[in-house]
Amino acid sequence: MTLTQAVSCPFCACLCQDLHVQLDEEAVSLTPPCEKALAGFAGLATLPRHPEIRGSQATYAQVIAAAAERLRRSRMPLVLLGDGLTAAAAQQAIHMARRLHACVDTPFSASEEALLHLWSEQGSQWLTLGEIHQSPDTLLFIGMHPATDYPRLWSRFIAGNAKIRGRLAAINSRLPYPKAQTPGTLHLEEQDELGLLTTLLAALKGKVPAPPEDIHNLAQLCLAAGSGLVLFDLARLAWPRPTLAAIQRLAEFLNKRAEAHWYTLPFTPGSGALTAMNALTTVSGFPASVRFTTNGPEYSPAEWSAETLLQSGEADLVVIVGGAPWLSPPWQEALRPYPALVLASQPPATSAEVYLPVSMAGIDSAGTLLRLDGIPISLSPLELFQSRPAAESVLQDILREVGP
Amino acid sequence: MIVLRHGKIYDPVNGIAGEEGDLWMEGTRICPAPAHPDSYTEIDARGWIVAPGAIEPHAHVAGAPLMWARRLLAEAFGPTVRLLPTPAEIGQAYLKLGFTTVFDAATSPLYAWQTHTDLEQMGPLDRGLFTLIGDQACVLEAVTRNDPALLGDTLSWLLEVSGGYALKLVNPGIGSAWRSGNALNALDAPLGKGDLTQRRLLLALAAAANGLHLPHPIHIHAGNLGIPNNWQNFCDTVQALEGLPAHFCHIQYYSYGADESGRPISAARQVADCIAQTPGLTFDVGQVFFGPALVVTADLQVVRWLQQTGKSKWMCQLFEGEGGVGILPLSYQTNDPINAIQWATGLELLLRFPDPSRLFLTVDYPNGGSFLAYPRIISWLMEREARQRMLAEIHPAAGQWSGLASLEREYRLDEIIAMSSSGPARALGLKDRGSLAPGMLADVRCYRLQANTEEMFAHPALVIKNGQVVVEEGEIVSEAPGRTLAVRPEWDVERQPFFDQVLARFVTIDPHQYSIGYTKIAERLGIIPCT
Repeated sequence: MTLTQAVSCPFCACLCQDLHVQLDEEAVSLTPPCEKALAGFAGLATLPRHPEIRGSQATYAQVIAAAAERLRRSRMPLVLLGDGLTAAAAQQAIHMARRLHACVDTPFSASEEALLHLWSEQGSQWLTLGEIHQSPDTLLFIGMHPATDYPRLWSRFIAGNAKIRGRLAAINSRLPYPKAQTPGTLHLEEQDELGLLTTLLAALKGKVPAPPEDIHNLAQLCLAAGSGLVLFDLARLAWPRPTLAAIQRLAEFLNKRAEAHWYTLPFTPGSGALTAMNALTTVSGFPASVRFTTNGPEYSPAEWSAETLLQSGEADLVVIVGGAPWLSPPWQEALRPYPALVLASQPPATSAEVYLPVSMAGIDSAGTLLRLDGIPISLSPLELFQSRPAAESVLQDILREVGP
Repeated sequence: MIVLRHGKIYDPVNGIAGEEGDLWMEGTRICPAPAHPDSYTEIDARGWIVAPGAIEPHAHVAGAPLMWARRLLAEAFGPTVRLLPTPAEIGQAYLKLGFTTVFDAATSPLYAWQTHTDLEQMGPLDRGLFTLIGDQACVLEAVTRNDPALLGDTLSWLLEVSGGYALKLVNPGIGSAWRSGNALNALDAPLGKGDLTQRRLLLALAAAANGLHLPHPIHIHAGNLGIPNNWQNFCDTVQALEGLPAHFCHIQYYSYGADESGRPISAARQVADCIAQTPGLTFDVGQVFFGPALVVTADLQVVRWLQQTGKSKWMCQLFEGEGGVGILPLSYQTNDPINAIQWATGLELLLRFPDPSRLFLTVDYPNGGSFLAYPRIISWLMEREARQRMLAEIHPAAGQWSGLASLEREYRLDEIIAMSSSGPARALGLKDRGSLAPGMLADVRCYRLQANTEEMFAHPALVIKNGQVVVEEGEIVSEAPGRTLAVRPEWDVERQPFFDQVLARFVTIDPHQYSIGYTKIAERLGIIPCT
């Protein structure tokens, strides 16, 4: 049987809604093409369906009881809001944290904190993705390249954009750059982003008498822009705080010097980071690193971030809700000593005391997620896929089992 | 049934001002005193003022911009938490002041889902949102085509897809002007979109909105906000409507003259005179209150001007197919001459304008400060001595460059109730509230009558929403959910291809997800008829 269906793609933060997927027993194809989405859809056949307790298959009732028992015994649970969470699931996870006086964080809070710090210090100008067609005439990528990281972002918004007409520059994109597609594009990769941004800014300010040719050309490109956009991937910056500050200084300088509108657009990893942070802000007033106490929510990255809690050993149980593609080796190492309850659509990336496969918005359930520019997108389930329980209903069942 | 016994009843619509009496409620409504009541709960209201629940006609209480502001200010969370609590806490704080209905003043259709999600956290409060239209792509296209029927359908469609209660203009055309690099400082200045001017846009939209018979006429944030010598432009804008109904918000910010060196001074007298001649219009004041505040506005020009003059941190975002939003934290200082003049100008306007059913007290939360300041502001309106004391404490420019010091008027209680209940209810077209007549919603607030008016209004003894006690001695005692009010004027479905085509040019989401129609939010709205 072959299924062809319009889909909202949940496999990256662009949440494209103009894809058609064709699925049959043999193969998956996608129109228009997107390698990232294709890999996601191709992996659907192997999505886990059975709950597990310590790696052994168990019934739904057994895992709910086991999760509740573990939560009852926990002195300080840490709820980690992972990838692909819908707004409803994130809200329910936060509700659970509030009931249990737990800490809540996202794995992206370190980069979020760097971004917040920057906003608090210097502010920010940004725009929605669709504005790339309308406003900027010059794009500057830092630490990323959308053609490979976000293929549809490239094909939908940048390639063939008449307003930009090749006025592109990439700083240390670390990835093969499609020079053939954009002849004349500046591509600077000799230094790290921070060093290069610092040199660029100095050149713009006339503090480098004879800048290298690439830097000179980039400076000219920036100065000639009527409106520019700097795109960067928060998770990929080697030195987030100083690099973000340098990006902001650059945008601020260009806004003043050239009397142009320069905007920045931070990319967050995965498709759920912003959704989770928004949900946490709605409930607690703060986007990350929150502890719910009897006196209300406390925000303190220095005390309640996941990284701090895992390093200090203060948490005694980790509840991971949502996918975990962010589970890089350092994260896996940090989580190893802790018992974990994992509610995710994909297999757990760390050993889990309890694992409950939950549905994925856009695949086997509906749900609202925020695109990387904050626009809410509703995802509908694919036909053919038998639904797994939604994270919010599983969390409700666990809380009910935990009792008052 | 509930009866409030022996209260001092204030019901300005029915000319009742402090008469002792009983107020009966049955179910969600106020009812006549029954001849032979079977069972009822009796509450002793002796020594209490009994008045209709207060209504907030203009505040920014929900939505994506506040969410971004919370993130922006997360690191400065001392005073900010008080200024920008969570949506649930905002709802509770309003209830505890005696408010039973609150409207969010500006929501971009693109982000309406977030506003509704926030509003639904607000417990028993009834609430609604105003849909931003002044820079929406389909609206601009319809105006450019000079097609009033198409424009009317476009506005109706936008109200439906955003779950809006009213239409909101913010310096209309500012998005187009911003993108084209033009300053927008006069009604007849080009917007950068053909020969379209703000005057033409304003008039077309006010006329189209009027044709929809919405409960609340078009709600306008005019141009040149906050700029010295802007009062004449504001009066020109009022006149530009050519008699069409409208509500102008936070008019304090448009009531400035200028001294010889170009610094702002109060022009409250001129503006009060101007608006007195426009009986079809209503206004709110946008009083500033000393302390932390947060500019949250779709008027990108204002926020950029503030950022450049004050060198403050800010956030600015452009929305595809619409305008954008700017966010900028600031603090109104007692020793700052401009802030002092702003404070005096707002009070002067309120005291000069005689009709509290047409000019309402707002702080344009959080732009002018926190709504928690209302009791203090009311005390300044009711007690000349209290405002003279304040005048003596702040920068002398307030006394020197405004007429406040010479004004002797003191608001009466019935006038305060009119400006906070019956007046906003009438302006908003809420026919079921704002009065204590039988058949009206049982939304009631009670205060212990006392000499200290600030204390009195800060701590209602009792608040009743839909016939249920929700606040008792400052504590929330019920979380029965309120409703999000919306309108749904009819529109021609044959227009859908036009909307889809225009959206496809500007907006990169599925047109059918523009905006909340695909969610269950739409099913939960309380629809108010357009008649």
